[in-house]
Amino acid sequence: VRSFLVVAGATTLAVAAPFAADRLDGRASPRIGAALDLLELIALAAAPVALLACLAGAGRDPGLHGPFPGSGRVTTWSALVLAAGWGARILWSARSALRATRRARPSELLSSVPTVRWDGIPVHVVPATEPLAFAVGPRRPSVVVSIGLLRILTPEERTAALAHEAAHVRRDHPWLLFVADVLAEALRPLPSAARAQRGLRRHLEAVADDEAVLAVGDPALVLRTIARVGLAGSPVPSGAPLASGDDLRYRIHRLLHPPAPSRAAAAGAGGLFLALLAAAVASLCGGFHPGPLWAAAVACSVALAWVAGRPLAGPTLSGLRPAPTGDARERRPGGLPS
Amino acid sequence: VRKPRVVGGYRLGTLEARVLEILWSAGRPLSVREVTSLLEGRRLAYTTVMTVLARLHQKGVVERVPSGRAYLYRPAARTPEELAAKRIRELVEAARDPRAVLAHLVTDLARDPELRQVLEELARERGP
Repeated sequence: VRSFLVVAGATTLAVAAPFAADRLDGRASPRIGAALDLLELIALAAAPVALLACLAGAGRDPGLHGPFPGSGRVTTWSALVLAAGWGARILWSARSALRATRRARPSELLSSVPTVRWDGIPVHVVPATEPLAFAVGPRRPSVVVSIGLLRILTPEERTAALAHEAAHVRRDHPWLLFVADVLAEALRPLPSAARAQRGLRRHLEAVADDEAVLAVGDPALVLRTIARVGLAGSPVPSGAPLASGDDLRYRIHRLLHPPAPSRAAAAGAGGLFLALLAAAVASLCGGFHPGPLWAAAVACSVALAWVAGRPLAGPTLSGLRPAPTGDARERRPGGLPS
Repeated sequence: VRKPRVVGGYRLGTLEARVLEILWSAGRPLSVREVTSLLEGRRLAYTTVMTVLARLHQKGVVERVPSGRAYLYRPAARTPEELAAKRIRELVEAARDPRAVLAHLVTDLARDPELRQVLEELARERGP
């Protein structure tokens, strides 16, 4: 009964957290926001595991025999079958997501188009008139831009666009978004999962915007780049449900009015992060642990914190101060067709 | 020994590339039997050629037109350059799939007139 309460509490927290995290938006750093969103998805995906583990445990408990003999074993087995089904659902979702990502990353095509390196990250320039700039992955992540995009941008704006996309790749965003897509797909009917997935996308875009600002030294230039690409392109659907212009509005607002770092927001976000971490650990490790419980919990926390902490990496942008001029210009690759 | 080569942005096996060249030089849709007879060198089984054509069709390199109870095959593009252009179009199409592309520079610019206006103002600001 006690473990049931723990699991129920963890699940409630994971379900409610995205709504709390949304309130921190714009006040806490997008890195923290992204880490929270990722952890929420993991906690949500872990909740069924914990519930089923509890069920299996209850089935084995000799004191909890059901109304007819052997019902305990039935409970245990059905819990195991359901757990296997949940695992299969996540694997299936991963398989279909991997297939979809491969379509946007045709390696034989990308290896035959001109490729330049931007800070060591491969940038494929495809001869298409549509203005395109995107990061592909999760395997061998790289950036794809179209000649159509390069044509409509000034050299400074190209720097901003490439710095934005290169930041995605350098910070492992393709992997994080892939994991989020897989988990959100498996959890599809759940509004919290959709919210967390969408939040992660939005926050990672903001993180890449920040790095673009650092590279070019001017938020207005990044804004102008986003605006020009947005106006030139045919509307590309964002991956998240409930899409509207809100995500773009959030990015524009952040660049126009850089948020002052707030201690309270950071503390709130940190607290939420720890609470979610505890919830996910309780869900994942509460049920199955071969060794002593404390060892399992420690190992689990370290692993989860490492995964969910991935979005936190990178330089922090304090108040969007202009970067020292000059170096942004030097980093521009020379080989781009104009 | 199969050496894969890239034709028009598609990776093709040696036999696949040869079959494609035969279809290109024929200038009209060919049946499996015709392709088999046009393949020089060692004689290949009908089913082998059929498998190759089916794989080319699956890759999107050739199209098939129904003819009686069988199919005739023709290249999906007239030249390697056109094939490459088709491949680019496929990539552009895939790029619109939010599950395929993980991070676009700008997404989600729904048909939102208000947002467009904001963007137009931003684009003008200190623009060239």
